[in-house]
Amino acid sequence: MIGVVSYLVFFLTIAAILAIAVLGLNLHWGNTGLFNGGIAAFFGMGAYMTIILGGTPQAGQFGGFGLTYPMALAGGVGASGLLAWLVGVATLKLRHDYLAIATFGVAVAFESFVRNTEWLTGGAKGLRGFERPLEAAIGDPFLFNLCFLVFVLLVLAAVTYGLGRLIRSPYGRLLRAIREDEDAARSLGKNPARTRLASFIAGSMIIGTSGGLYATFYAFVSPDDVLPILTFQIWAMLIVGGAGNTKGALLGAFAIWAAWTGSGWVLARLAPVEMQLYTGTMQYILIGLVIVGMLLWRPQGLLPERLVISQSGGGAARRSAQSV
Amino acid sequence: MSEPGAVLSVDRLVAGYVKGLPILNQVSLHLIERSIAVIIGPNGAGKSTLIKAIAGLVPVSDGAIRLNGRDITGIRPDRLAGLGVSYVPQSENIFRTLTVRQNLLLVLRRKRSGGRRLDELFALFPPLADKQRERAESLSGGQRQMLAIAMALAAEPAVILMDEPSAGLSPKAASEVLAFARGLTEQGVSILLVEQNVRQALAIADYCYILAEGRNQVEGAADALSSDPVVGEIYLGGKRVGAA
Amino acid sequence: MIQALLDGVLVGSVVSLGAIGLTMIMHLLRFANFSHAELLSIGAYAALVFDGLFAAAVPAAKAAVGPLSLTWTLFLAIIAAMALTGLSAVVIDRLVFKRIRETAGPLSMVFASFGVALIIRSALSLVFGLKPRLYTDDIVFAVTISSDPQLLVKPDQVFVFGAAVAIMLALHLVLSRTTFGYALRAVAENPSLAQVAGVRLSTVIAVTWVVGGALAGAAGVFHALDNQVSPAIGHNFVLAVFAATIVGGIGSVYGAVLGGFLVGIAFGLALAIMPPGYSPAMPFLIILGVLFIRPQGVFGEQR
Repeated sequence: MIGVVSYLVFFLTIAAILAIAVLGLNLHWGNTGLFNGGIAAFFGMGAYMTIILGGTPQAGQFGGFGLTYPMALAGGVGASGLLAWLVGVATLKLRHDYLAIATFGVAVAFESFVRNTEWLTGGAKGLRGFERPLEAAIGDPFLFNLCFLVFVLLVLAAVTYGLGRLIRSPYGRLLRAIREDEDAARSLGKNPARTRLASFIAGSMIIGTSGGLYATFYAFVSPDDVLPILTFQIWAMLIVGGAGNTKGALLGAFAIWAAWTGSGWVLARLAPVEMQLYTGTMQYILIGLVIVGMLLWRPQGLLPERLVISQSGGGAARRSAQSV
Repeated sequence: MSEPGAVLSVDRLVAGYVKGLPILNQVSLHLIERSIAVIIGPNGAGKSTLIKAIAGLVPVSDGAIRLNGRDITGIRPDRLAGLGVSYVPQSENIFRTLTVRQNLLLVLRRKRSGGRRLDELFALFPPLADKQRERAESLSGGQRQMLAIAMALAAEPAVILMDEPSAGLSPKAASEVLAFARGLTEQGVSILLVEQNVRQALAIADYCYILAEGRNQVEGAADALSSDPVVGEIYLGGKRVGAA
Repeated sequence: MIQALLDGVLVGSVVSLGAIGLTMIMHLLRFANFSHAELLSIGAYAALVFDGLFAAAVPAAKAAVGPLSLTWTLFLAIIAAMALTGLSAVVIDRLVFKRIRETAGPLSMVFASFGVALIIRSALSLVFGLKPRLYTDDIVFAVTISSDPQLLVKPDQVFVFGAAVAIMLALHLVLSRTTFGYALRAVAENPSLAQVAGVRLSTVIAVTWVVGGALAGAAGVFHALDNQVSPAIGHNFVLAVFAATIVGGIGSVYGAVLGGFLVGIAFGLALAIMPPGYSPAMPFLIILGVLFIRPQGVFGEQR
């Protein structure tokens, strides 16, 4: 019985951690209309920086500065923000898909960098040697996992609440205004480029938080944690749940994570031995089909936002989210 | 319902770029064969939108457009070209990155006697012949307008829609263009014209429609309207007819 | 260093062919197609399949052409593969992208293109296996064309470069001398005016997909000829072809060619200077650099 509960705790923890990343993407895409094609990079930056700053010194490994946990996590979050600033400054003034290309590129570059810069990131071996906060104090592993789950859920609740307030605030209205009609917003003295940059940085920092928590949970990070498939998983979560919509984002996160682990389990059981190597590939096809299928069948997601069709001069009508 | 002798009829047209926000509100007009009808009105009246709607470039939500009795409402612009209707936009009416020759050959793509027609067009517009292998962006404003009109004529249309053909031209060049249009009607072409240059337009037109705020205001024979003070009043924002 | 340049020019031929279709579609349909690079993989595998079929049909034709490792069957297979890839491109558009652009915005198409790329790559892995394949088991030796500095060139590489240039030349002729080429350029400059001039947009879009796809298919085969056929080809080239389109200016075919060779040469030089593991990151640095310095690229975008 403990085994099942234990697994459930593990499942919920990961799902909740990924849900935080989905909320970050929601701020990018759902609220600001920005296309982040490189979630893995911001996630990874948060993860790696947290371990580097907060880890204990390990032989032959950089880092291990042994900062307190809050500082290490904050460092990870800050690093993600910095990376977002760099990418955003270059691309946000340009046509929308330049951001897609640049963010995708930053993710490829990031993976390539951490995989090869062994002295800094441990290369393919990754980074270990991280003492999980309060682990020694709590003692019992199951209890620790439970406490960590509660901690993650608290962070998730805080981010959800924070984003909810943001959307209802003047800043949220500004984001919507810029999405609707950028020229009008500019004529009112607002600076759309700067607002979008701020939103991009904020969303990326949320994704970085998710990465930091992920690295904390495993006390380990490696280049295999920042593969493109992670970006696809987070997107699938947002597309399925419903972009621009916090409830939808959370639903999507848990649903897709359940589908992913479930399909992995089923494929491992049912696939013949020769095909075991391909279970991952089949899961990739599933995710691809989910993304394409949802966009074709129900692009607004399972939990559609209440739509307000508004006009923008000459272009296609855009949607603005009324609910969060 | 089309009027006899009308080659083009617009019947209570409602149209605009965005659904639910029409620019044109129940606009009607007729173009009689071998004549010039001119549309005038203050800025923002919807004159260009009307021409574009006929050309198939602006979505129509209600009303009808007929060509020789045949319904062409919402037709695809490239199909309209095949039906003998040419459209000369006000701006961006030539392909700058193509040469003069290539611009014309493009329009003549589907025509069997393209080569002969090309020679005819160059005979009609000698300055274009001189510059035929130069990129269109190197032409002067007047030459570009000439090319745009040549492109419209290339397909030997029965109807030409022109959006402010005199825009950006010197008064002399403007009157030359409008006189040229007049000459075309003598060869059997019917022309629907939008113009800001009211005086010169009324001088060569047969019939005139005045549009304001997306609606018909006044219409009548061109020479009658050119001496009617109501024209000036509508322009200066005073009188309005048929407002909701 | 010169060897690095030579290798870079070869990579550049492949990237250029791949980038031409991408730049046209990015300009026409206003979306960054992340599945375009997968067309290279489709082309490479299609040629593998056709080569097998032709060799089974006419065993005698599986003879090498001159000093190349290329066989007659493979040569024909390349042409067949180009056709198949072009067809795949337009079919994918009809099935996925067209429906999405009619109901949602261009960014949804970008989303979908990621999904399509994932599906194509995974499907190829499932069907053909994860292990890379080769067109021929013959070992091809490089020819030393110069001893000091030492320069080695494989005959296949000369073929690839020549074929790529020939294809680009053919495209140039179509664009500059045929009325269909004028129609393509007209639509690229001003789609509504092109319609007014009698050009049917849907036809031009379909042809753009077919031509772009065929060129990408050729690029894939050319790359695999000198390397290997693997499902990862698409992923390996996706950033490079984007970099080429951005350097050259989105919408410019000549820009894509120029950009492709620049990216290829940069790759070659990077491999000479940096450890090989970092080379995937290099196109990204190019992209970032161009976006900071001259975002519209060399030939800019008309709109």
